[in-house]
Amino acid sequence: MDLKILAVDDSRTIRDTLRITLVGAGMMVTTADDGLHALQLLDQMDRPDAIISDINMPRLDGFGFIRAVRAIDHLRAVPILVLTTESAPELRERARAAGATGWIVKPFDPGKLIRSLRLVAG
Amino acid sequence: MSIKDHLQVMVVDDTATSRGLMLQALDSMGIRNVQHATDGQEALVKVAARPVHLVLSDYFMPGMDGLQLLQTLRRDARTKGVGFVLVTGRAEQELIDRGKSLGMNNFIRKPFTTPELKSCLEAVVGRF
Amino acid sequence: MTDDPMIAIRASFFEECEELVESLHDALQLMEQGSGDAETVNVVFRAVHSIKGGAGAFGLNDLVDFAHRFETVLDDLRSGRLVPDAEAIRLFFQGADLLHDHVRAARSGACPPDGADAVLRALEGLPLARAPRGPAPVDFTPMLIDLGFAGLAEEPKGLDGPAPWIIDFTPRSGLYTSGNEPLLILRNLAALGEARVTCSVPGELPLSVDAAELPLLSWRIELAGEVPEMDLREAFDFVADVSDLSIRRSPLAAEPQPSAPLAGTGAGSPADETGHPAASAAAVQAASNPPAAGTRADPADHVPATVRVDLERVDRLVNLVGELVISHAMLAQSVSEAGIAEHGMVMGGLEAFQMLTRDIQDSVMMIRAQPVKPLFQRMARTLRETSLAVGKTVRLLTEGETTEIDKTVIERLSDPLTHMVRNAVDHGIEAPAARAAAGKPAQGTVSLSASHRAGRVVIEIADDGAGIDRDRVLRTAVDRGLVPPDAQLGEAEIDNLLFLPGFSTASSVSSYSGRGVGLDVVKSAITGLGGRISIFAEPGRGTRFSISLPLTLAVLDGMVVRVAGQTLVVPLSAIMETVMLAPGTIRRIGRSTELLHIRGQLVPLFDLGVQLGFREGPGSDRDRIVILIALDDGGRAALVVDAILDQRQVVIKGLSRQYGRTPGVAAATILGDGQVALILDPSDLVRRAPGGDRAPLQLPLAG
Repeated sequence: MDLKILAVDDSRTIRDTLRITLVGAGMMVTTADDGLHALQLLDQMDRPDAIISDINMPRLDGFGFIRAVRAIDHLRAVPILVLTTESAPELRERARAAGATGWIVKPFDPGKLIRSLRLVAG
Repeated sequence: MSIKDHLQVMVVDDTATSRGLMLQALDSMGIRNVQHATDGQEALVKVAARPVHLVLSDYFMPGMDGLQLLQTLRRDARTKGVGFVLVTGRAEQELIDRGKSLGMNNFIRKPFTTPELKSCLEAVVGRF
Repeated sequence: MTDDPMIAIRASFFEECEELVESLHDALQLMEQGSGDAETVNVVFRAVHSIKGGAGAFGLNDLVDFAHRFETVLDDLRSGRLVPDAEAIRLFFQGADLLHDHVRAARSGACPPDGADAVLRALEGLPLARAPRGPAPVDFTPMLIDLGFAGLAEEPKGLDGPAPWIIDFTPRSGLYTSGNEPLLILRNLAALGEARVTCSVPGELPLSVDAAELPLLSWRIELAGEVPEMDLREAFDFVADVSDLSIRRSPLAAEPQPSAPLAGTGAGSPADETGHPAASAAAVQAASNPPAAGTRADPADHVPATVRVDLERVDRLVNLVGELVISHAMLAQSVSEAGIAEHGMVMGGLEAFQMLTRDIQDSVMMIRAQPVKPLFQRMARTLRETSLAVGKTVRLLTEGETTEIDKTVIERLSDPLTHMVRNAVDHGIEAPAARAAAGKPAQGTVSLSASHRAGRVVIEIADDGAGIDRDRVLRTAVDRGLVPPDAQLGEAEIDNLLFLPGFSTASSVSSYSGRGVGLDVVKSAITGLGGRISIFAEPGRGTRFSISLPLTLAVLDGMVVRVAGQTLVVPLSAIMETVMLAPGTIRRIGRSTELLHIRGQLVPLFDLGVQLGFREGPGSDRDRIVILIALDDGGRAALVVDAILDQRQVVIKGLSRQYGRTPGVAAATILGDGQVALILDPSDLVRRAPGGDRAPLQLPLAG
């Protein structure tokens, strides 16, 4: 199950934790520290099996990033999970409106993260 | 839920190939709760431990033949009502009559196609 | 690789046919000997019946047709309408042989054998004691059962399991545009438990590209009731807001009805009278033995005593084990060169390793070993056919049928043994008149035996025929220039002349086996297997061939020796002992022949260096070592080497064909240091050496 994941978050701790969790589950991880950087990577790399993205990021926030991704033809249907804080259901709605596939609540439960990825990416 | 999901079946045949073909045919029609035995004695022991709705048995077997198995099943209160289908390569009237008198529910000739088997079974357990 | 289960079942069907044919032969043999009973006849019948049944399922029509006609005759046998006499049994054997041919033809897709029809007609022509059964269209009415009997409810979980879930799921457009994929959700659900999924598709589907993301499909999923609702909902976590979702329990099992008959059972259900009285007792039964829905036949139900394995896998394993042995040897070499203490942990570990390797090797070799019985049965058939063709009555006695030999060896024995059986019947055993004149029973006897002896397999085939006319053989050999006219040959030596190429003394060319197939062909087949063959004859009384084969083709225990700077391997099985060469024990005869005086015998002595052409003359007489060899024909010889290096197991690697057959060399191996060393064939070497075929002379020791 070599899922290739692109993880976007400006916090190094989160990026490291995501990496450890996903690699531990046998997946392959590429990280970016902001939306613009991530878009550049997406231009160069093979289509990832799923994208995980934070919402609050400098320069380009999560919503903008997701909208930008969805505008790219071959990424129209790529599963995107946003990292959201527990008590912000309206953020989920906005994410959905931007085109997010699903969400992961921070701080994230590694098992739930993996299950969610399997649910949206196979 | 349908009959075939719950139907418990026992296949009795001394040849591995015939058992394999029968299991394969049953599986392809969605009948999955299937036990098997290589002779009548083993079949009796197994159905005593795990009751079945239906027994599909070969006729020519070492030890107890298929109709002897049927007779034994019918004599036991626990298995008296079990469905019994005789599977045979030679289906002469004499054999069939004997089966009928012992309470056989149906029979099928070998080699059979899966649709033929399905019709044969439906005549015993109803459509599925 | 296809997953079609029918392919696997078909393959195992053909394996099963071989077993059935074997049991058929065994039963017929019992009948022939008069020791069969009713069950024996049943075995005969069932074997053919089962083959027919399986063949029918795979559409092997020629086989079905043959088997059907044969089976019909056997049915008459089984029911007592046909009483078998010797003629009938003979026909049954022919039928069985033809059946086997049909099976093989069906397996390989070849044409069915000839002559089948004639045999079938003969079988069908056998007189019956009673009138045969007529063909029957059959009159029968099936009967429905009441599925509620014995407490086995339509839904066995109805009694104590939760009702199944019913999930209705209809995505709305937001689902697809957010990158969600219904297939993955359905898969996730299916992983939670037994699921049945139905998809509803609208009657008309628009075909435009944009339509791909229109929410036109909806699904109903029925799922086993034990799955927690929470897990179900989790699967829809990300789509609940972009779909219409309903999760509920199925109402059907709300009231379990264990003894309610199925709707539509109709009239004539024989279980009517049993439905209710059985229910209470049966309900107890069901409560204690609830069959789990969805279980396949319990794997513990059949515990196979044997496993069918791909021969390719076994061969790969054999090869790997061979490499393991070489690897070990190289490791041992490096370790010893590294100067590690002889008796320390490392050496001890290596030894343990070697023993383990050996055990693994033995076990692996035995996987490929099979009983010779089917081979003997094939010989029985050859015997039957040959006897029939040449008009003699011959019986076959067999012994040691359960002896196991490597499968490849068995296959390669088939041809040589067939030749020998044919020769024995055609040329060995005399015509009935000659036998009568010699006071022998009219029926000739050929015996076939197999046994394990001293780490080898010994197969013997003997007949009670006329034996060998030694004078004629010698004369023919002289005439053909194969031996010098004044040669003094012992009896065994004359007999063994028959193995020379082109040798046949049959004065008449039998239309059946031609001029008597040359025994040289047989011999080279045997030596090709690493085996030996010898012949012992008693004129007027009979002939016996003795074949000795290695147990396995792949490895050899050998003594590694040095000769003239070359490293060679001498098979341990041929070695009787090794001694230091003491000068006083050599006798010279003639110019170049030496004999060694050992254990009261004078044994021909050969310098390996000279024999193999490594040097001109023998090296110094000092410190040389003599290896005493046992030869195939029971003789002895002594080989002189410069030094003995080691004793170890080596993996036999054949020499490339381009090198031809070097006299005295059987094969080669790779030693621990990576060197290639030749493996000797001592008997062959000795035979080709001048003076090599001298039998040892017995001399009483003086004093």
